[in-house]
Amino acid sequence: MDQHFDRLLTFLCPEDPDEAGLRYLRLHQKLAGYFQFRGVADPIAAADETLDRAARRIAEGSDVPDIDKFCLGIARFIIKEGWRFNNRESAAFLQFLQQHDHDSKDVDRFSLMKTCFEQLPQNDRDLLSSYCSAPTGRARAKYRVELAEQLNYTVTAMRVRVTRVRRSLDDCVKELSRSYW
Amino acid sequence: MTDERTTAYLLQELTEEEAERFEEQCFALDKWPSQLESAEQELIDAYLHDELGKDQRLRFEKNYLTTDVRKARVLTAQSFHKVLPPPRPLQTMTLGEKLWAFIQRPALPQAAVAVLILTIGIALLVPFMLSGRRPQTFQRLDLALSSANRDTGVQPEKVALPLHAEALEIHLKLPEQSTNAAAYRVQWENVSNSLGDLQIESRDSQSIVVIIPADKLSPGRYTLKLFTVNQDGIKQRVSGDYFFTAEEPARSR
Repeated sequence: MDQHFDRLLTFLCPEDPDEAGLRYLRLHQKLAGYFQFRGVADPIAAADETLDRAARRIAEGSDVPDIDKFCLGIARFIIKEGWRFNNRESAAFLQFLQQHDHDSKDVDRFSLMKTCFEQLPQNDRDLLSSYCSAPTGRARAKYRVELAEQLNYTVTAMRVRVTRVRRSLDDCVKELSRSYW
Repeated sequence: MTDERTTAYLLQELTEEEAERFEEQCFALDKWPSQLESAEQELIDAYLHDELGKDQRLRFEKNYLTTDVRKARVLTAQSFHKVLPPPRPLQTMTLGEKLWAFIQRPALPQAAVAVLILTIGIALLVPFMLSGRRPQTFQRLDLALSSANRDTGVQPEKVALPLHAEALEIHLKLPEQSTNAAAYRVQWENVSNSLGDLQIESRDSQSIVVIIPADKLSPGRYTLKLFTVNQDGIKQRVSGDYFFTAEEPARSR
């Protein structure tokens, strides 16, 4: 396996091992992003699996004119195999969310979200509540431009910030809910 | 990779070739594009806020909600909107502040600009004010929520046309379980078309008041649909409708 890995690194940049390492990491991150976007339960493991298979195929002498397309092809195949779309952890978390609604006696998912939300810095809380209370339709775009101006962001940067903070909330809820699985 | 294209990809509205091209474009970038996750969040929010069309909603449920991870994303987004506090007011410049900022600027150009704005303003505003002025006289109509429809035989309230006022002032009695909503929306329709939203003039704990100008009414049956909007901005339809019929007096031969 290590030999395959070394062959892959050499393939990525024969003349510079450090650069090869960077290219490997970049490829891994893109694959993990792809698997996450496709709703795979463990995107990191899926990216590992893709690169393992790519390394093996390269070691076996496959013709690879474009490493990005080559890895994407393997990733698609892995998706088609239904590879870990769901796993025990994702099933348990979903079950927790479905069962711990308002009626739940011990804890509900809303109270966990509230706890996580309250742990955010005040400026992130303000950002989320302002950003997400935008009106609908055309007024939404205008509202968000004004909000971005007020906060000294570009609209794109503000949106990325909102996405990151919301993802951190999701992670926090998942972490807090673990003791109930 | 626009939001529209990302949404189309997630809802599987693209052909297989288009979807593959979309993936390749994303993968060809140095980093996996973060705007995809933003667009996905917006799609989930649109689903939760009932902003998707009927077909898109169905595709969301059939083609997007295919894994545990995605289902969990939707549920956590729902929790998020539920606990989100109302925003602090957005600090924008008031008209007075804008005027003051304008006055503070160097003098020469704004005299010309002010004259120009004033001239255009008068030319545009006067006809608008004359034609679009607010009704001054109202004919009151009280309606209660009814689950009746055309087939149940319950007679709707009747309004004789022409009105003896410039507008119909409709007092919609709120059902008990809906009196504490953060806001309301009222949509109206005739037998063939949706006529859009009615502006809510006022509200109290028991009822809300909407106005329909006389020139918007023609003979026929009208239905008003009530929606509550909670603090998260989530709109929910109140079951039942308000009905009335506008009638012209029968002509004598």
